[in-house]
Amino acid sequence: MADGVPSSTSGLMAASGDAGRLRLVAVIRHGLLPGLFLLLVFWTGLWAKVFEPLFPEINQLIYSRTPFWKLVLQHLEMVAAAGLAACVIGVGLGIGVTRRSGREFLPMVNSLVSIGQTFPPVAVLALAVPAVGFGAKPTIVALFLYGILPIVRNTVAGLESVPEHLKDSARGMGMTDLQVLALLELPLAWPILMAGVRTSIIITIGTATIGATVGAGGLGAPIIAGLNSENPVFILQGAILAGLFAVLVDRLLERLEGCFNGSA
Amino acid sequence: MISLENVHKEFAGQPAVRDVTLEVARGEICCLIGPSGCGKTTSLKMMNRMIEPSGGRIRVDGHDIRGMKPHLLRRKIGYVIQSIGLFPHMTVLENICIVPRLLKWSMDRARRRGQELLELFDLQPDVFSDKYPHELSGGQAQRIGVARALAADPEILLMDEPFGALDPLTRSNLQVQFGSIQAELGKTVILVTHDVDEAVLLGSRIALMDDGRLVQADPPERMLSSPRNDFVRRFFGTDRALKRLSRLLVRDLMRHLTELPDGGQPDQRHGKPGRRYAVEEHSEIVWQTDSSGLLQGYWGGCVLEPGQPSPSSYVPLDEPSAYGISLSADLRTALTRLLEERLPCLPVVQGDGCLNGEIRLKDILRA
Repeated sequence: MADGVPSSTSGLMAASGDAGRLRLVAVIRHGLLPGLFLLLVFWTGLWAKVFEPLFPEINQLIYSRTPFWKLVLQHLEMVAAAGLAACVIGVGLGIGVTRRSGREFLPMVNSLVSIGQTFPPVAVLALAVPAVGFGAKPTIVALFLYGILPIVRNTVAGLESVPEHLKDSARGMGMTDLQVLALLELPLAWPILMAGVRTSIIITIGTATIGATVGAGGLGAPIIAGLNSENPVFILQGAILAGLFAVLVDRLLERLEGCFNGSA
Repeated sequence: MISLENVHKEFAGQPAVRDVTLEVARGEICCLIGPSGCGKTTSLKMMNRMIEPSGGRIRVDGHDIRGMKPHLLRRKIGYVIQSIGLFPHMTVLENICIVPRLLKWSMDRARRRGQELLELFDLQPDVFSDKYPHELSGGQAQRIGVARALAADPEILLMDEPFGALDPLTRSNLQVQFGSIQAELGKTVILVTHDVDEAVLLGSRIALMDDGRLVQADPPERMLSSPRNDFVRRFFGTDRALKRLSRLLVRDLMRHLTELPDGGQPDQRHGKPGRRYAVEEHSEIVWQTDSSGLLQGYWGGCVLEPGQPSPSSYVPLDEPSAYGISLSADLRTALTRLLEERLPCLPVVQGDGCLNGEIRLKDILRA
């Protein structure tokens, strides 16, 4: 008994030490990428330090026409506008074509959104510019059309995965169609639906770089500038920041998916 | 409580239910039974407007259900389906509280009602409330399905093969439990089943359907003793006599006993203190109790096998209450016991072991 007490105390301390270490690991794991991203956005000297020995023949090592943070904001604006529209309209269409009254439109909507994705975004840009002018607007149109397919597809797949007998029992208990949708179908379809949203946002973030060709700015600007001036450093800067940005947003959305599931 | 008048249903020109007229009174358990595709489930689903009839009139509590909004009608009628349909993303308690919440009960009241129902179905609230459906066994899930249907205390319960997906043991346990809960609550129940034994056990009335038509609707005893036609006779099977026995109770055929005066048969040489009872003075068998009426043993040569004690010898019983049969046991059980143990009669005892009467094989055969 006498030596049982201290040993259990030390076990406890070891446990609290473990917890501390786990917390540290968690901080590093969750903070590493955002930290790196912020560092690369705000500390331009870092790029110079890294690229100077790699590309000694290039004199301009940092894209300086617009600060990176401004490019990130422009990029975010376009992605958010197109993504939000794609989510609202995509989920809405998905719900619409799985209702009794809208089911006959399912094949039509399916082929429409497929065309939207197979039509090259660059071509959409070229067609949209005469209609809405240069800048962010045509880019948002192109991104919206490009990103809506996975959202509609997954919304439909998610809603159709809800077993018929559950809907039967929900209606049998006296739920209205809207209640069946809100209390049963959407919660059960949520993981599949969110997977579609995440896919859509990721490809939208990557594709948004083409906006720079029509003067929309964003992280595509250094890439286009690099292509024009044959400066691989600029291209790398745009590409790395866009890539990191996509990963960060994806993880944020993953968190959002988990939150909703936990509370439901 | 529920009446169907000339109800008719066609699916794409194919009649599924033809001209069914049926009246179910308050507190009745009406079992709709019949071969697959006979229209029993369609008939059930028309009662809460899950399916709209093509013709005829359905009334619930005197009101034509066409005059009610389907979702409001359904909130007043409990609904249980074979696949149970518990919502996988909700806990047991949340599942039970669905209809009360649709009816805008307060969270508090709904939770209290949910816990009350869990207790009614022998599921400890603190163990089961926060479980998710995938953590339950089939029997538990089905009990929660029935509890959920009863949550808002509806007058009417519609059940579509509620015990169909369970293993035989769980099914019969649940049937018995449901029967006793129903006896307490007195709901009006319409139960669709294809299991004749279930209908005979639970139904206060059986409505047999075939090819969309109602063939016969009568209490189980009548269905078994006077089937209307060959179809009914065949449907209830060759063991309908036994099925009928399962509807009758020991209580109905029990013979009363009188106390024998001292010195009567059997003889006093073995003189045991206590009392002796028999149906009549020269009965083959005499039951021995202690002074408070607890069964102790019997006198007589009732055992048919050779080499057993001769008449007038005393046979003490180790477990009198297990040897005797209870008043509320059904005659099928009593018959099984009598045949199994090759006895002409069994003592009828109360739960505490007190002698109540006697049940005879001869009487059962004549029943």
